[in-house]
Amino acid sequence: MARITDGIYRQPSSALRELISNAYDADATEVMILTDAPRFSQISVRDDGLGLSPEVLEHLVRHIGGSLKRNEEGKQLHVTAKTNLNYSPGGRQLIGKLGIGLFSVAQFTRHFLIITKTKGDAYRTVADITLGAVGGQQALLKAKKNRPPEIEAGHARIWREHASDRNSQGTEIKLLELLPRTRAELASDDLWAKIEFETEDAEMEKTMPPTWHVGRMKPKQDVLLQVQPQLPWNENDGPRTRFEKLVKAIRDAGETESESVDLDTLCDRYLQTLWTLSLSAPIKYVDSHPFDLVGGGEFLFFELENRQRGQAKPLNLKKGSTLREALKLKAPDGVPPKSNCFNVFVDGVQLFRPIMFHDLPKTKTAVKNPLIFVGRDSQNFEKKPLQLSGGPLVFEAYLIWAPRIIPKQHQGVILRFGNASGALFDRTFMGYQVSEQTRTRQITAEIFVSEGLDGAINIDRESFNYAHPHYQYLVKWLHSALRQLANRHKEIGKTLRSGNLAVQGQRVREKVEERVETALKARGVEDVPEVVLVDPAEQSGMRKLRSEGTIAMRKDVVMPPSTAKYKTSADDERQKLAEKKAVAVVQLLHGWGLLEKLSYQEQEKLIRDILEIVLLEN
Amino acid sequence: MNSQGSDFADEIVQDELPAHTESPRDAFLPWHRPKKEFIRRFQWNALTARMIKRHWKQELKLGKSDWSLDDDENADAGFKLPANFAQEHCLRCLVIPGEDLLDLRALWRDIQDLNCHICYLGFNEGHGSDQKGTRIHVSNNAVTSLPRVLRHSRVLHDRFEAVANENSIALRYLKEYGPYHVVNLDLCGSMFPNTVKSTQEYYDALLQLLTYQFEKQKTEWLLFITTMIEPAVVDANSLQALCGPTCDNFNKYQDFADVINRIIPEKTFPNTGAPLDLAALTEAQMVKLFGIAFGKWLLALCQKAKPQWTVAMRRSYCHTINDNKGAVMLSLAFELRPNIAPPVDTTGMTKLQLPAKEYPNEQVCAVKLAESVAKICDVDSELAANKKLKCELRDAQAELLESAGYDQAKYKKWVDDGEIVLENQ
Repeated sequence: MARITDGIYRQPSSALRELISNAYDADATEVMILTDAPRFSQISVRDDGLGLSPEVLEHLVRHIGGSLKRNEEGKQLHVTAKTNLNYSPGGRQLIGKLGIGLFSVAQFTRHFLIITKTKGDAYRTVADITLGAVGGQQALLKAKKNRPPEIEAGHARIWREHASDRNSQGTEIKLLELLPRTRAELASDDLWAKIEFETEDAEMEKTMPPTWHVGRMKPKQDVLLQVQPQLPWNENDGPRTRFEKLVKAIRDAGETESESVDLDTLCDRYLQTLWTLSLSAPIKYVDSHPFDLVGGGEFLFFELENRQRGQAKPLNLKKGSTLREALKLKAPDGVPPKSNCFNVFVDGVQLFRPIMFHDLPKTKTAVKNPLIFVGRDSQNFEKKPLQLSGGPLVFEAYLIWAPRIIPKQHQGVILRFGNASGALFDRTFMGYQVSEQTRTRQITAEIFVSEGLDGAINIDRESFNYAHPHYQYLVKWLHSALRQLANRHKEIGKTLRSGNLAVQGQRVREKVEERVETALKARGVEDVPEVVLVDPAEQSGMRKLRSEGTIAMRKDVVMPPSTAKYKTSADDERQKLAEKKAVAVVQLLHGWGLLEKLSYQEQEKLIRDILEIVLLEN
Repeated sequence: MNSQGSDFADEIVQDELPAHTESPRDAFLPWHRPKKEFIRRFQWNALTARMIKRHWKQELKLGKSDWSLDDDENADAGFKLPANFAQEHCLRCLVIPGEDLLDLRALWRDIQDLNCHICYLGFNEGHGSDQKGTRIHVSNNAVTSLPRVLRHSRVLHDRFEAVANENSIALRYLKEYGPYHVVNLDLCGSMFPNTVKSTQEYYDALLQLLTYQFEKQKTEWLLFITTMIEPAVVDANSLQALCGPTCDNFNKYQDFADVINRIIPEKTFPNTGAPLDLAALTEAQMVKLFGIAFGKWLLALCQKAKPQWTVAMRRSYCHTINDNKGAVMLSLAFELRPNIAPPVDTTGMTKLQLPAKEYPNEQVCAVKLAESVAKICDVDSELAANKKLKCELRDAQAELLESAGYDQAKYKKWVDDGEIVLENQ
């Protein structure tokens, strides 16, 4: 088994994520992970879920890599709900596979304990499991008389032990003797080794240590620290405060460090593991669920259409009412809130989903308000054979556009099945081919699948079978949603930009007026004459205007023609300013008495000549 | 080019194959004896319960409803405590438990009626993946499953002595779980100066611990020190150094000398500055001399700290552990209290008449300490004189051991047969 898992799970967080999923499926309300960071000699993952009966534990140990979930055997052994194999006994949508959790463990240790107890049992059951040798396959073969050789996969010893705490329940998986590779990964050994190597060479460019880290042990020993931890929280902070401070430290880095906030440089692998787990586990958001955002705030809301050429519709949320209420959204997974209570703690830090929707980063671009696009779909694949369609697919989703996504690891889309995810943010947006380099870096999206997709998740629980119809359907839906977002974003940007130009143009024109007034005042002219540039269609009324004392000139004669190829908001503003300048020149010349001796026609010619020079551009 | 002698493999392959475990259930050890149960019950747990009732009630929020389990959906089960329950409202204990965590099981048993929440950090260097390690993992799971025990309580795979080093991972975790109401150092080794093994690292670790506690702990706390005393292998020079503060007081204060003279021959302390005369001391007197010397050493440290701390020795006990070698186990209990007093205005600028708070001075503390040492109780004699009590303790210990997976009946028989511990256990 240890060999089979090689290459499937790449990071320690994968094993931890699977064990958290198992706890969730066991109706746990709490998972506690304890390491002895930064030594990482052992890891304990403990939950207060239903626990495993001796029968289930024995089955599990004999069939590591298999699963009792979603099958009849699981129902008989009370691992799944009696009425629906896809749900836990407590009514949660199953997100893991029991055997797979232990399967992943094998990648990181060859020795682990399972200590488990069900409520009311007077005993706890303990399994001490050691996996088989890694050596050549021949060594694994045990030949027995008159029987084909068998592979020795490992040893397991299961026993029962008296428990005085009859009412307690839960399972603890203790990973002992972590493999050196796993320890090195969690301890960021490669990173520290690189820093040390560079320190030895005075001329070499230096890599900075991560801003936040859990410290480092002295190489080749288990007692002393070489580098003291540098954490964004302090010893007295509670579990929630610790996580909030971590999130704040990452967000603050956007103001103090650089435009692009990268977890890889800010945090060591341990803190990155915490972050990864917090993104994947079915837990609460650090502030609130995006569907619980209320109207009247900084967001502009839109509802997505389920069509390939759809147009997102603006949603006018009343002040104080939520998206969830307005669109009757059910995510995370529609189970009653009580059974949905699920908390994860790692070394005294309570994890929350670190995606925040308040006080998002500001920018100089036109669109300053974040935009949120929400959609949902329920596809039954009617008239299609069940064997080919994979059954119904039901999901809800949101896409948020914000000027900057912090950290950059949150750029992309994450697919959640039962509110959990094995994969991290997919920055390609499931292969979105449209060249939107800037905009796609400004989008975070989550898709909450409540029915379907399970069959499209690969054995590593981190990747998908791209050919699966559910995955393909989601690709189409997401790409349509992205197009709808892009169209709306462009439209809003255009409107805002022209509005901004108008305001700026007005400001400049007012300055021109002030300048004329000041100049004429200095000349002793208090009343600035009224000047009108008359459009061709209205030039029949010029005589009347002049008789009333207004200086009227033909606009088409005075104003040089526009050189712009396309009429844009900026051209409009440029033309308005040119006209204002024309009026100003007339007012000044009139104030100085220079127009009096000229005919109306000569006046127009003079102004035109001056403007040709004043408005000359490169 | 071959790779012989390179250390590349260290990063890739472990040194040994994982060990398999068998669980012992009828191999009884010295600390399973009823006399250890006596210490747990009458010293450690009784004093802890007394402190909870007298001093820590408010801090531990006993009787208040804001942390009650009433709002907890699993309150009916009575076992559950949210992990985010503030550690600051727990009775925080630092311990050196054995593989069955019997001390912690007994603590929970004896204070559970007080509805106090417990959080502990233990040090046990044998906490690996072998048989002993497995026992600790299973025991820790069992204890942290008990009602009102914080589940992130743990036993760290380190020696307590490691905290002496500022850069040790042991000190890092000690700070993470502290400061402590109860520090129970039931040492495997000895703090008694001897010629067999240096005691230096214990004293260094203790000083590091005191430094931390003095900085962070804001209320009274208990320090239990259990150490083996082997008069036969005394290191006279080291004991002389430990006795320095005692000698000072002996020569300075007559009331202190008077109490000392009642328990230790006067000639032990020559007033000429010559070395202590240990030759004339009986084993019992040597135990008491160590008790005074250690207590006075602790008092001197407390008096030199800022703010100062007051030390009082509480009920302390001794008992034999190996008749042939004349070794004695000494269990000392100290209560430490910060000397925090309100500001006093002597100018008359304020009319407020705040009650002044006064603390006993070093001389008074030292005399009381010596008087307490004189009263150190011999557990062997107590139990020999009180068969009923011994029987009670045996039964209580049997239950405790059963909770750790041992056979009750076999245990009782083991006690009745003379508590013989086999050499290889």
